[in-house]
Amino acid sequence: MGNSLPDQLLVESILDGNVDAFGEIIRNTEGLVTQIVCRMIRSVEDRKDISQDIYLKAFNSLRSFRFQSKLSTWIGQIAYNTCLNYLERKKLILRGNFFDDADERSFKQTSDVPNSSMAETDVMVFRKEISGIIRSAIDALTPVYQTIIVLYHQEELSYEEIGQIMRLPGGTVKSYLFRARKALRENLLSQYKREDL
Amino acid sequence: MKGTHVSEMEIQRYVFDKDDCPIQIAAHIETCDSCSARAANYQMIFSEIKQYPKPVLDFDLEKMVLAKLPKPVPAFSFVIFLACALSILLIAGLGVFAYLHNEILVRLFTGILPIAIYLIMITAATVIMLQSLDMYKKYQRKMHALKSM
Repeated sequence: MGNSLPDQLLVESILDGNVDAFGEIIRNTEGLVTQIVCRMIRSVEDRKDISQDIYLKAFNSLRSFRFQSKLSTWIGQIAYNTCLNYLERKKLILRGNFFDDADERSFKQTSDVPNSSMAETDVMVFRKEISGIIRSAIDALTPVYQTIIVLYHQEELSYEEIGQIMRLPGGTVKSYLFRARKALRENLLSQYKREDL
Repeated sequence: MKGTHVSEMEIQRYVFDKDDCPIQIAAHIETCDSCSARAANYQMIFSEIKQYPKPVLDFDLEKMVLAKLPKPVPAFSFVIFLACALSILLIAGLGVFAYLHNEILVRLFTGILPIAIYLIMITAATVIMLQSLDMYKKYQRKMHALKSM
């Protein structure tokens, strides 16, 4: 992204009729959009339509982009909203259980003070095939928790940028991220225990 | 902190926002086996996640999207239309004026030394030439940037 044209020049060029310049925007933001789409949408077939839909929406709304955020963040926001709309349309997410209730319950029930056997189990988890276990533990999280984790830990976005994409205040992003990490760690522990039985 | 362990939130703060973590909490975690094991868990999980290959789509998204974009339609610019109309009116007006009052124009230049006329013409030509060159260079730079995308 370092050598690419500034967002403003690209947008002006597209609005002047250079449609091909939109390819540069796609190349610059495809990684972020793919992360969001792959985390939010399980159906591989639907990912194709949704990814295209995201960029067509971005192209059609380009005139309304006011440069109040980075172009990539703005497109990330379109991607996130498009995925959410898809999930709501398919009734895969309802507002009531947007964030997994099970995560909430375990969050409340788990004491802040861990028992020593848990710490020992934790250590043993990492002697197993870590990578595969972590991957499936991430997949077991809600789409929103998966997204928030990859945006922060893989895409290295700031709380503010994640907040802009998900339309949440920075403090709420921090709180969700905390719950997501905790849920992931607990998923890992329960998965390990299940395999161990 | 003695005799009690730190909370999950404090463990996460220690691992992910160390600058924001109070010294007593950090000191406890570093000396407590149970808490440091929990912190190590988080560190290991998330350093593993950081190394995961990022997902890649198995189709050419750029090609598919560009094929669906509408072909550019030259937009009607009211400003350009107005500029053209005013230019035509101005040239026509000057032409009519010159035709009707050509003796005034002749008298206008008879009082001026030929050398002054040459100087004015050369200056005007130089300014126009430099401006045109500058515009052409800017245009070339923009085209080059767009072509190299």
